[in-house]
Amino acid sequence: METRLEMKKVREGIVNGIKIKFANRLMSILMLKKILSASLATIMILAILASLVVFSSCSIISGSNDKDEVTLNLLRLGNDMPEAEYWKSLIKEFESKNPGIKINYDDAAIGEPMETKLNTLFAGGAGPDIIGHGIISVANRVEAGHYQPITDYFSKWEGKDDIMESVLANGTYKGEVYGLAYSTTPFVFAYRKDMFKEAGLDPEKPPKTWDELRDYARLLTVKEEDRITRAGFAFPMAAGNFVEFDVFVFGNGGRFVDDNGMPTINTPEKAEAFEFLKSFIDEVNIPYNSNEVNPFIKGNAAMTLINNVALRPMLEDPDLKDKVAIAVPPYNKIKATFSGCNMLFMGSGCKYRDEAWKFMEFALTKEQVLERSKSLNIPITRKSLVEEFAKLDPYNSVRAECVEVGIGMPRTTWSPRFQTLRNEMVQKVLYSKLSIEEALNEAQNKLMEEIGQ
Amino acid sequence: MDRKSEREPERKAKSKPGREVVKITGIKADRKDAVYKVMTWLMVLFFTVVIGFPFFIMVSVSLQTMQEIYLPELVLFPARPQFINYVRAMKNGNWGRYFFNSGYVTLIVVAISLFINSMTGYAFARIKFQGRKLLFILLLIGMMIPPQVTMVPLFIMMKSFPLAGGNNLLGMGGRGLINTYAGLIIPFIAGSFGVFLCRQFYLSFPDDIDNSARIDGCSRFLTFTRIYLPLSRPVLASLGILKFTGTWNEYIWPLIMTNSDSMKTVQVALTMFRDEAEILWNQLMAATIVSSLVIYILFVCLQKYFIAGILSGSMKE
Repeated sequence: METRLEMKKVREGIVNGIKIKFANRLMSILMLKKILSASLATIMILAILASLVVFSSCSIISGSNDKDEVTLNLLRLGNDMPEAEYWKSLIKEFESKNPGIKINYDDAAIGEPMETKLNTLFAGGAGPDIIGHGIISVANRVEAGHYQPITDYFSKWEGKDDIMESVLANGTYKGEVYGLAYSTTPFVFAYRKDMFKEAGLDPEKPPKTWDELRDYARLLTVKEEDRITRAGFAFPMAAGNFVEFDVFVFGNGGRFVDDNGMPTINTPEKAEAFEFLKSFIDEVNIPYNSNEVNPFIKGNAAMTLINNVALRPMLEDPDLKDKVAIAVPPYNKIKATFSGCNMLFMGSGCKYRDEAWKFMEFALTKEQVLERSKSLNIPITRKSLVEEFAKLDPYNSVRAECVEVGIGMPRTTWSPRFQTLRNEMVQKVLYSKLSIEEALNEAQNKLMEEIGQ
Repeated sequence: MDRKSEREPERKAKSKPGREVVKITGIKADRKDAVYKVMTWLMVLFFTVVIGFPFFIMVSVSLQTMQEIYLPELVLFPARPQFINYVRAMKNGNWGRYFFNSGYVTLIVVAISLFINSMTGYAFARIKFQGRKLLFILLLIGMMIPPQVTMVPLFIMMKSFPLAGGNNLLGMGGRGLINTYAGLIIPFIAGSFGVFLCRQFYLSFPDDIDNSARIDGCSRFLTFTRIYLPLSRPVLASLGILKFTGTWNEYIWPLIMTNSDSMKTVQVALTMFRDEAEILWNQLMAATIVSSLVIYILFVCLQKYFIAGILSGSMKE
């Protein structure tokens, strides 16, 4: 009996063992199946994602060099429609004449958007091949290694002797040419002819000197009791970039940077410019911020200093066209004004330098410079075109002269900081928070301190 | 429960001494209610004016001529409303394309992100796995880092995306996902906030739901899709709306990721009304109104979810 029972137990044990083994096997098969299905699902998802990515990107992205075609990326400062359209048509023309080169056009709004985009692209190793940017970018981007010199191409360029010296200077840094101007925005002296007549002044003879400007401004100012209702001369009391003050400094023979690239803020030229402005500005001005609309545009001022482009709507207005005129800004020692400038630069990562230069050269031909002046009202940058440009509009000779005598922002790495300090300084003087001497010294010392001198 | 009904027991308690007292207290309470109502209306009116005035100015400027905008005094009602500004604004660029791009990117982002965020939120809330807390803390840290900080690394990742835009398997040689829809969509499909929101929502579910589902033979995925997802309508609606407005209004990322007019989104295109010296305010305002219409319509239709989304996390149920 006992043996039988033992045998039964053994048999049951074996059966149980088999059952457990079977169950284990089954479990492992199920696990394997699970793992397999999970892996398959992952692979499928990855494959779908990859195909989606490849499909979506291949259709839109063009590589930098396809087998027979070189693609160059161009990023331009400013994204207004008229100028964007001009550049697109220029690119089309260029591509038709240069079948092996494709230009991928892109732009970004002026200011922060352009800087953010450009910084990210360069940081990500996707910097554009050709960049359209302003003077203030030169020193910092050269030092950051974003621009590469084009001196070798420039020295062989047919237009090298034709480009205005003042314009060429804007793109030159430490003896090398980095940028060539495609657009300039000089500050012009604008005045109202009708208001001149009304005040008994000759509308064809705008003020040429500082003294004349002061006298005219006083004559043209209209007051109701003590309140100025029409400014004789509109001058901003606050600004994002106080270049209106620079016009007086330049006209007095001053500069903000010396030959060694050091700041020269506290010099007699600036003090005299301040003294002149302080001598009459409160009597003739309606205060405004240069980021706002100039009172001259609103019809509340008889004279002002204004960006040539900002004046365009007024000159195009049939009711105002004959009432508004422009001239070179009045000066004390030297005929000069402030002139902004946008240039074409070659990105440091550009592998196809010859092709990039070919495009730059094409954009700077006489035909294109003239085309820009016709379609976009941009003053010319080449000396040989002055006469032809003058024929297009009665005021074009003034604009061309303003470009010729135009001076831009200092091409130094401290230029952005200078801009802030200069703005503060001008405001402090205009609002009598500091004396002229104190304000000049403060700005100079702060800047010197910040650049480690 | 409104204020009147809240005060009912108080009134009843006071009514015991007699009819006279009831009357006086009743009048006083009615007066208080009336004053409260007037005050509420005045406050609402005040805030409506404060918030609505800029919008009114935006509409007004969109209908003005540039001469009116430049006038020294503020023009509230244009002499002749210039509806043509809307036509001009829409002709100033390829707006059909910009709207398509924004709409396409936004819809895809919303659809994918809702699924991914809810699934991740579910995992954090309902599945107990090792390192769950640590992972969740890492996720919360993600919420604290401003997007500007991660912008460049993210851009590099998109540029180096394997097998895209001429890239090889190691993500080199091409331009990756730059100037592609994928490049505009992928960075937005998952986000710490969305996961956090969903997790908080799923935490309030009783454990019995999971147990019942398990007894009925549901896997985790089936439990999520068959039980949790259908019950998630409120949180998904709130998250969807926030995601929609966030993606639609995104400016910096499309700005740096796109490099052609055909890929521009509405927000990037809105900057086109400015040149070196002038801003075409009337056209800019007209285009802004048109581009905001999508959000306004969405808000009107789903405003209760908007508010729920804003309040999410502020109350503990």
